[in-house]
Amino acid sequence: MTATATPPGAPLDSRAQAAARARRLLLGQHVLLLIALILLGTYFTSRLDFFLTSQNVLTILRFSAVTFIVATGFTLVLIGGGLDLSIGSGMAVVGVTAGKLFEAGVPLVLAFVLGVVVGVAIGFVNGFIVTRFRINPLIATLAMLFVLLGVAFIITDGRSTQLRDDGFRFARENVGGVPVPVFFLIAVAVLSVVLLHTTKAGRHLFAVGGNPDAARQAAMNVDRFRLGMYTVAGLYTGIAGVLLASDLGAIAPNSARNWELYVATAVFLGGASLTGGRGSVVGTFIGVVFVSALDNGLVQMAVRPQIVLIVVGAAMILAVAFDQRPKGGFR
Amino acid sequence: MNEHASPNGNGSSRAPLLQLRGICRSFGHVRAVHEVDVDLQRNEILGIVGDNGAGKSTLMKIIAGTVSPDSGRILMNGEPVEITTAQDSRRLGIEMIYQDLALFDNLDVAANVFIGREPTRGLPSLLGFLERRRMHREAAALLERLNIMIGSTRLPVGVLSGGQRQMVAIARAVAFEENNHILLMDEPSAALGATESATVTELIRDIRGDGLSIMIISHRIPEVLDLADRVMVMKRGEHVATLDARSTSVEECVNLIVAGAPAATGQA
Repeated sequence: MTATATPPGAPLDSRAQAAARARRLLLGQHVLLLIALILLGTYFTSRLDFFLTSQNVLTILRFSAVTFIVATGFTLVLIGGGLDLSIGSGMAVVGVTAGKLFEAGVPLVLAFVLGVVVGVAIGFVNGFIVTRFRINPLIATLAMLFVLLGVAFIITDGRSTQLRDDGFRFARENVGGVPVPVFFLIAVAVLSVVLLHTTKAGRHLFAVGGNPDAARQAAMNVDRFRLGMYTVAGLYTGIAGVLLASDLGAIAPNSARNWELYVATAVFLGGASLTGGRGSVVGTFIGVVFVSALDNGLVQMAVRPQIVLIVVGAAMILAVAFDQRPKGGFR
Repeated sequence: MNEHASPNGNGSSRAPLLQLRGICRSFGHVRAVHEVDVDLQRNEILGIVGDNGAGKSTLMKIIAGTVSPDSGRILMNGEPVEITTAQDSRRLGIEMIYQDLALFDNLDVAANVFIGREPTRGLPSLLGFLERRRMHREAAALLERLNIMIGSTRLPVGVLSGGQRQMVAIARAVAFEENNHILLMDEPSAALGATESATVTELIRDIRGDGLSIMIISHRIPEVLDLADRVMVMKRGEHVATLDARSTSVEECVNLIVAGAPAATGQA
C-alpha cells in the first residue's frame, strides 16, 4: 500500500476524492491483474485458434473452480496472518480417502462427505499445531505437507488406480452447460465473501492478521481465530480434494503435486500478503483464472510442463515483488 | 460525556477519582516503581515526566492492568478496586493509548474506531452482519465533534499521517464515552512534528473539557506544562514531586527530573 500521508492542517480533499483514492488503493492491483489477464488471453487467442472456444473456456473454468476453492482457504489463512503449505498433500489425502471408501462400496455421497470431513480434520490439526505449540506456520505446514503426502502413499500403497465410473466422476458432468465444480465455486465464493467481508468474524480476521498485538488488546482471542481459519481452510481443501479425485476418476496419491505453486501464485497475484491482514475473494478469483489460463495456454502451445512450472514460479516472484515494492517504485 | 461522573453513585464524591497508594513493582533487581502515591482528580490532566527508566510507563501499565504491582492499593472514588487485567481497567472506565497506538493499518478509520465493539445485525456475536453504514456515519460524527480532520472514514489508517493516526487512536479511546472516566496516554506526541503535535494537544484539551480525566507521559516539558493542570516528576521509580503546572517553570521541572529531590510537597 502506498503511503500518501496528508500533512496536518492542510486543506483535506473532499470526502468523495478520499473515498476514490482509498478505492484505488484497494483495487489498484486487481485492475492491473485484470489488464494482465486480458493481455494474456489476447496473446493466446492470437496464437491458438482453440483458446477462446467455449469448450476451452469451460475447461479453464473447471480447472479454476477446484483451484479457486482451495485458494480461497489459502487466502483466509493468509489474511489471518498464517500460511498453509500442506494444501496439495491435504487434497491428496482427502481424494484417496474418498476414492478408497467408494471402491470399498461406501455410497458415493457418504464417501465424498467423509472425504470432506477428513479435510476439516486436517485443517484443525494444522491450526492446532500452529496455535498450541507456537510453531511458525511455515515450518508447521511444511512438515504437514510431507506427513500428509506420506499418509496418502500409505493409504494407496503408493499406487494409482483408476476407478470404474458409477457416478464417481460427477465433477466431469455439466448441468445446463456449466461444469459441476463451478457450482461448488459459486457456493464457496458466496459463503466466503459473506463471512469475510460482511460479518464481525471476517472483520476481526483482518484485524488479527493485520496487528495481532493490537487485536489482543482489543480482547480478541487470536489463537481461536487462527484455529478457526485453518479449520475453514481444511473444509475448502476437503471440497477441492474430492472434486479433484472425481475429476480424475482415480485414486492417485500424487494427484495434487505442485498445487501449492499454482495456488500460492494465484493468491499472491490476487493481492493477499504474507504479512497478514490483506487479501480478498475477488482478487483470488481473478488470480486463479489468470494462472489457469496461463497454464492452459502454455500447455496448448506445446510448452514443456517443466517450463510451465518455471513460468508460474516466475509469476509468483513477480506478484510478491510487486506487493513488496518500495514506496516510490524500484530504482 | 457524562459530567460529574460518579459511576458507583456512592457518597464519597469528594475523594479523588483515582488514588494509587504505595505502588511497588520490580523487574528482577530493578525497582521500576517504588512506593508511589498518585491522586487523579475529576476532569484533571496530570502530566508525568521523568528520564528514561523513571518508571512512568510501568506506573501507567499498572493502572491499565497490563502490569501487576508487587504491592500497593488502587482506589476509585475512594473505593478499593482490583485491576489485574486490561479488561478489569476497561470495565472501570480506564482506556490506555499505547505509544505504538495499536491501530490496524489494513483497516479503515471507521473499522479502527469500532474495532471489537462493532454494531451488528442478524446472527448473534461474531457471525452478526456488520452495520457498515452506521459505523461510517457514527465515526464521521465522532471525528467532526472532536474536530479531527480526516478526509474520509473509509481511508485505510495505514495511509494517514502520524498526527492523524494519533487522533484516530484518541477518537477510538473516547468513542464509547458513557463508560470512560480516565484516559492514559503514553507519549502522544513523541513521533510528531511541531504542527501535528499542536493539533493533538488541542484535541486532548478538547476531550478533557468533556469530563474526562487524563494522565499523560511526555518528554516535552513545555508542552506538558502548557497542557496539564499538575505535573508529577518521577526519578528511578520514585515520585519526586508534583508541581502546579501554572506556577512552575520548565527549569524547575528539568532540575527535578535531573537532580531528583524528596517529595516535599506531599503526595500527588
